Amino acid sequence: MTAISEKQRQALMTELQGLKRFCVSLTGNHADAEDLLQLTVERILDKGMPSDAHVAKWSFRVCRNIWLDELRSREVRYRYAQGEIAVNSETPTSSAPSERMLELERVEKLMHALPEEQRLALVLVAVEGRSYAEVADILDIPIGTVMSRVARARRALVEKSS
Amino acid sequence: MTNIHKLDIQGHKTDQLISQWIDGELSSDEHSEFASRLAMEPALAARVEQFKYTDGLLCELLSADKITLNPAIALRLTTPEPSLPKAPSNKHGRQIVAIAATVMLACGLTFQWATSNQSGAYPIGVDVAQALEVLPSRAEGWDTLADGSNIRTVLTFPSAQGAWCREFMLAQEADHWRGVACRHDGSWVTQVMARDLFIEQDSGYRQASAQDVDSVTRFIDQQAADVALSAKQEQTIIASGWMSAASSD
Repeated sequence: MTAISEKQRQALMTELQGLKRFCVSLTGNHADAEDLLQLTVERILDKGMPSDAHVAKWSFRVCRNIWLDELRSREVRYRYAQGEIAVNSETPTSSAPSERMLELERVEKLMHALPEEQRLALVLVAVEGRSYAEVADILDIPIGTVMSRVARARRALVEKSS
Repeated sequence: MTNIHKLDIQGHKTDQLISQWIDGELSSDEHSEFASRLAMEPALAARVEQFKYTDGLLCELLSADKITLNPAIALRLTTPEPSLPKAPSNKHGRQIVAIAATVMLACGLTFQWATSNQSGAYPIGVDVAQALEVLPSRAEGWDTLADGSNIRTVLTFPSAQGAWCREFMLAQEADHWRGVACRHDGSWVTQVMARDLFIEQDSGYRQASAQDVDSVTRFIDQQAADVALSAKQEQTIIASGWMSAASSD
């Protein structure tokens, strides 16, 4: 397992947009998502994948694992950053965000508060437009579980945002 | 089981049904049945709209922006593992940013560019390869590729290794390149690419200045076994599918 096949390479390029959105849904911001995407693609190119691997499934897993590693390594820095934010929050903002922006921010917060398994299922279905069968394949779970997670996620977003 | 628990289960089942409706996961019969319910149950219809609205916010939140890959990674991703002569053997040698441009343009992906010019042998993008295969050289004017980029084949010459080579210019929005590709075993392989700068006019692009094209000129000087083909010679070799041996005779 030292390289990816030509077919896998092509599939990975096709998956890039979805992988990017997946990165955004994991990290919650575009800058981190950019970095995560780089690391994910680089890791896949470096380490390769089994010849029979499902490219999307493999890529999403690699991506998630890298992010979890990153979160662990950020723990100390995060605590430091929290202190910084507390200080910076005393600075008044010059303009009020629009209602739409507030709504998006609210949904973003709620989305990141969802259990990871619900969030990933929802993003893959509602944003990526993947079928339940595809998501089941990607996440290696039964279709019924996908259905349940998607419904629970939507319910949580709607009920907590109202 | 408490009544509240029963209601919760029922609510979850309804939410699943709504999700399946939104996601197009209902069978034909289920779809019809649900459509009838929607017409008769305003609360259900309102719930559907709430779900859809939240989906819309999610999509907006995660709406696709440009993919910006580190050029070295982009090159590795967009370029098949080379089994061709002259391929750089070390890791740094693979960071051939300029050459990646050709491949990436063909992929329709948007990447962040670096500014270095490099040389080495790599397979070229499909659209560019097809253009090199059939287009005659021209002193002015451009041909538009499927991905919207513009190409001008500049000249054709035989290399010292007995391959046919073509100099070409490639422009896509602000990214302008000049390069040479040679034909090996039926495939066009980039030998050198360099950033160039053309100014767009109503009639197309014209070259504004040669910024970093010395490497291209140097390559041609060093590798060309003869002068460039005449238009007639080039037409003949293109018509033959590049089957004639490239020699200086």
